[in-house]
Amino acid sequence: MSKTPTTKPLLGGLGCHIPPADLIQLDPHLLPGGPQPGEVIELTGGSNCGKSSLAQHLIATALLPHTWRGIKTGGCGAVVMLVDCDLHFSILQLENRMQKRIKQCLRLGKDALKKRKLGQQAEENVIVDEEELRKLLHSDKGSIKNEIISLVKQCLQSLSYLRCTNSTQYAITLLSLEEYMMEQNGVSLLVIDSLSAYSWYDRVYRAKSWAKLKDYYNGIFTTVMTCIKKYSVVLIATKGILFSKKFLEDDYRDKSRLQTDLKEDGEMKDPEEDMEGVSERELFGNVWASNVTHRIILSLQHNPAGNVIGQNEDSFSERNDTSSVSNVTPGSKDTNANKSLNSTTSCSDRYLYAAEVTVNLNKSKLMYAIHEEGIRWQNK
Amino acid sequence: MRLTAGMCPALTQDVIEKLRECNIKNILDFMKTDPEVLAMKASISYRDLCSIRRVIIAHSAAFVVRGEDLLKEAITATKVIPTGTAELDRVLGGGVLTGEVVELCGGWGVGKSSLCVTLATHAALRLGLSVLYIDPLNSISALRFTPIIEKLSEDAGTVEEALSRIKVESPADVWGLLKALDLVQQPYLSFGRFNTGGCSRFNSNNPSGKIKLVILDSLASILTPLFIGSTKQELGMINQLAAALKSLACEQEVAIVVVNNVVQADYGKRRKRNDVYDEWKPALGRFWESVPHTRLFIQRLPNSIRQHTKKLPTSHAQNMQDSMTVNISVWKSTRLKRTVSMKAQNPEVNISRSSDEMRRVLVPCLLSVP
Repeated sequence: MSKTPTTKPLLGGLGCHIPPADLIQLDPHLLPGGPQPGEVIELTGGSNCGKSSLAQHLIATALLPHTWRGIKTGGCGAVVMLVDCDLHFSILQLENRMQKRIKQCLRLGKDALKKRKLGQQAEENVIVDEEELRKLLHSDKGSIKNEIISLVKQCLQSLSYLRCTNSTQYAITLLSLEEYMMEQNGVSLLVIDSLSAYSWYDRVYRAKSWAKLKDYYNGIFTTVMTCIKKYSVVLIATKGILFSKKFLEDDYRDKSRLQTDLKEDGEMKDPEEDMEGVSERELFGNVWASNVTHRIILSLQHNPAGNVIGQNEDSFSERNDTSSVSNVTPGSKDTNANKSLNSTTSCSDRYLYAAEVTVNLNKSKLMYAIHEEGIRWQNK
Repeated sequence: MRLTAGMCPALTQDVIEKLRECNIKNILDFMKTDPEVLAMKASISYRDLCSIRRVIIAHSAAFVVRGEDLLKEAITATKVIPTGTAELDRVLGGGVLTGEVVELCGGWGVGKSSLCVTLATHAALRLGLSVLYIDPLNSISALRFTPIIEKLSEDAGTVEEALSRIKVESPADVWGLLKALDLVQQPYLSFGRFNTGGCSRFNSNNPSGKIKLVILDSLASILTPLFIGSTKQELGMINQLAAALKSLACEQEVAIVVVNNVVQADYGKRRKRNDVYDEWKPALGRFWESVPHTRLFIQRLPNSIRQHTKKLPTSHAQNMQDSMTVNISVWKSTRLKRTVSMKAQNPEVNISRSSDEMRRVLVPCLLSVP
């Protein structure tokens, strides 16, 4: 169908080991250079911060091909496995977002073609094969739509979905990853959404103390990590916050405030009161905490009412004027191609989120908004 | 969860004894250990261990579904249930979706229960769907439904048939609630004289009588009695309940509507840094915040308060004339665009904002006559 450099695993299930596709293109903004096989990316944040949306966006990027019909679609053409514990995943939404992304790429390709015709310099090499693209654009709207639908359907063939509806199923599924990987063949990305879906159940009904809970999770994650390293899989996991009071600024960055916060709470009796010194970070055990290579903290930065949420130390808190924030095409760092995006949408009426990425003690902060086709990173 | 003999041909009593000596007593311990290591330690054949593992996986682990199969299933199975109020349908993007948990939160007396009743009658009457109405407070009765139905349709037989499709359960506690939710799993339900299978035109949507809409009014009343004592216990219960609701919605393809209260978001001097709620936030704690797919906040408009406290005549028919204006905004959604939550102390803000941020919904306000 398309001249993609990566081949889909045609021999899956026959015991031939297909090497997993690389994920360099996964997200040049969030993960420059792409995640290496065996790396673990943790997305944490409060409720409704876009963790699942970001994870879904990364899944979509991973599933899309590198190129299609002569344009760069910015995907990885990889095989993805999704373990859904939160039960918020909607395949219809994923399909919709993938279709919109392809349409967006087509629009960019069309503009680039026009520019070429006029003799202007194409700002970015969106076009890979001009002939193919021209052929596609000349066909009628109905057949283009059908092509997009069938492309997305084909991409979804590389997605394996596992739904965990209770804590036992979740534990056993994670412990059986070895068998799943052997069966699926060539999985390069494993997404778990979310790790904390059954944490309170586990804490109350399985482990009678925080220490025992840590042991319980250590047991599970040891197996998971061995499996990931063995099959060269990238793991992306979303994690909700369990302890509201001492998350983020207080916990992850400054442990000295832990004790003072414990005493000031006035609302309903907090679970943190008898926490025995467990912090949010260590909740899932040291096996998990030590294996995470990319820690990404998401938070709401700005809501359309003009209120900036949170008095953060950076200059982001003073930025009430969002007109200077522009959209960035997912998958490309070039700003020229983004001008067409900026003209069509205004971002001042969107909720703006911040993603703080920590890799090997290097921190960087990005802003993003959730659009119809997924996540759009904002230029600073 | 214990390893029992006979689960698998390879799992004999002898093998179980050997495993117990290696400190493996249940399924989780078994799965955590590497089979190669275990084969050497317990002197059981590697092949046997692998086949036991496979049986456990087949029994307890999640099934793999291919993306395209999932898509096909979603396209055929997902149904949109219109709510009966056009504005609310617009806010929800068409109506309540099966497979989703929608939470209605709001203060006391804003009309959450009335909205639920309208939703249930619309689904039963106009769409012919079977509805499970879980009502722990025992606050509704047929009296509450009848006026709405009578307004929508004139035929007495239709009224009876529609009412027969609404099953009301009144569990006294959480465990009763979990048991009531089991009703949804039954493939064929017939209650009342009018069994499905008749040639009534209302049954074309729902030939098997399976419940398609579950309304839980309200969740806070069931869980709040548990809030005394250890907070962890209640969080464990909320977790279990949340998982039960969501998995029920997904697997049985029902739409679940849950009613919740709101509590004050401001703690005085301790404003949380990441707080996104201005004045009110949903009750039941932070864990519950991430559970529903969509959360709607219902707020009564200040200028309608006078209407609400007016002395109303006692007949049902006259009650129907009064309606209440409320604002419904989307606080959280996995698929809808989030709207700004309003500050209740600035009524000017409410009125001056454009209508696509706030939806004015007319809710027939029924005050039940004792």
